[in-house]
Amino acid sequence: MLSVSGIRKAFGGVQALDNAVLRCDPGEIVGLIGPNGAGKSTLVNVVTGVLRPDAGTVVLGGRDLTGTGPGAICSAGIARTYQNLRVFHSLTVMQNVEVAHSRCRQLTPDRAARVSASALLKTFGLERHANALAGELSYGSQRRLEMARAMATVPQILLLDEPAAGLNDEETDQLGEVIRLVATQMGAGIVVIDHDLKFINDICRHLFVMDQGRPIAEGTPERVWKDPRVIEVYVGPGTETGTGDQRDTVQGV
Amino acid sequence: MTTDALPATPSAASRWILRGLTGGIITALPVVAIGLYFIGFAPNYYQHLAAAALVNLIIVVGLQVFMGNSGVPQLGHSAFVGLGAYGLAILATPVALKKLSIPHAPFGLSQITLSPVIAIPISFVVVAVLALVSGRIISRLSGVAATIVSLAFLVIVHSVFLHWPELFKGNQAFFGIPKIFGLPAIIAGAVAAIVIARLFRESATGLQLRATADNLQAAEALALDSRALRRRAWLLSALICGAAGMLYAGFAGTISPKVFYFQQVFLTLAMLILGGMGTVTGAMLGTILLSFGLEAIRSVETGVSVLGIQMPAMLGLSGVALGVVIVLCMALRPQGISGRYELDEAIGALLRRNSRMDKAE
Repeated sequence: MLSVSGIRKAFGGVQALDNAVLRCDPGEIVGLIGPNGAGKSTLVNVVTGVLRPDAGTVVLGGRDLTGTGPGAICSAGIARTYQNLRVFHSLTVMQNVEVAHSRCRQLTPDRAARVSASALLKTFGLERHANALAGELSYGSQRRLEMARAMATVPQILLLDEPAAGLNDEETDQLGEVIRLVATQMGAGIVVIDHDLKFINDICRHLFVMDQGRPIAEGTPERVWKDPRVIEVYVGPGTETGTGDQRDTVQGV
Repeated sequence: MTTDALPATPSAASRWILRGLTGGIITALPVVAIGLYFIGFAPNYYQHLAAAALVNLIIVVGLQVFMGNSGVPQLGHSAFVGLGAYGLAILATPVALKKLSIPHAPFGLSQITLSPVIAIPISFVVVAVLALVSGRIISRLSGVAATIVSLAFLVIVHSVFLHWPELFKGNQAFFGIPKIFGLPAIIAGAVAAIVIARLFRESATGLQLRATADNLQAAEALALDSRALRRRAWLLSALICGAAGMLYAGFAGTISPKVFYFQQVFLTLAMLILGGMGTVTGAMLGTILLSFGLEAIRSVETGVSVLGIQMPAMLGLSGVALGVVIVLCMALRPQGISGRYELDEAIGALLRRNSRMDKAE
């Protein structure tokens, strides 16, 4: 399992992360939420080795990965997608997935078959576009392609940075289905960052809430949305806490 | 953990080879057709021009292997062309002629004549050693830094050619190289270069390298080692350019340092930019178009009479045209004529689009 604790990261005088935490088990879908500037993407960048934390540890399955680079983190079994899409535009859809196979760990044959490029394209509904250039795909398809590419590295943990951004309701529902599929069939633990709280509540069993770089709550969605600090952050100060009405308000954001 | 691509399916390994081979052969077809036409029908003078153009084609393909796949611009490839040419010249030229040209060559090189069968592999080894050394530096750099270092490498090699006359005969022409290659050999070399470049492009290394060129951050997050990938492409690029140099030396029989300098660098660069550096097809198209275009301009350059009116001689017009091609291409179509698609891929995409329209999706 992934266990991230006590992460601190400052940019100049700004404390972007202050004792940030995150945990995710195989097959589990957890949400990482918080208002803009809460430090969610910074935390993802620390976990995936893009940024080196000032303090704290990133541990995957008992192995301390803190401070190793993005490549080593990927090889260890943590993959990600990007808030701003980063598919390889000039490669075909199939090649985008194949290129990610290159450095991954040795696989048992049945596992390899499950993450074969064609199987992944099918899982993510891209098999029709296999030979098209990735840059020519629609926005929603590029999002799915990034997930397929990340899964080709056979990760234990997959971090999705705003996967539903820019998708319509129907596409978001489909995305939720695919994410559940990835968790149950491929056994990957999934961390979802998103601003679509309905989407988050639908697919996550466990939420981590951050504000200004600090963890302010965690637990099941039902518990988290009753937490007065969470309501204060999302609804604003001075309101009564814990009523069903407000929870619906929050969930309807 | 291996650096090679894990075959996603049993057929994946053979699929890229098939793709590279068919793509390479399709791309080489126009070259073979034009080459055979020149062998069969063109006068001797034009056969010489065709040979020079095809040597340029091999250089452009070599340039494409590194620049096109890594996205790192470089200007030093003519150094490897020169090394290949001088390697063959120094090793294979008969002792009798070496007594005239380089009687004081170091390492006893003036005392020996090697068969081309041995001289060529040794020349490749020399090129490879220098490519491995320079590649270690180039692969660490990107953008302007890589371009400048590659240019510096060219200047260094050129200076050694000029200022080590005991071995390279300095500024003077190195003559007496056995003319072991004819136009057919050069055509075969061009076809081989195109197929090899295309195979590299489709290989795991080529694919990964193109991914790093496309989006370095995403590629490194997939554990792709951009430096190692660039080193491999640099080595292959150098070997192809070195082969071009050997073919040139073995065809012309005479070489001099200035052949492998800025003029060749910019000519081949313009060819690649015009055709499109992203594809081997681009290297092929750009070389053919610019070779014919420049020849046409050269015939005008010396002054021709049109409808009885004598046009003035416009010496240097071809140089101007070369510059104009680079400027216009960069401004109007930086991806070149071929863009992102190889010839066979463009045909495939066209077919797919038609079938999609049929389905009226």
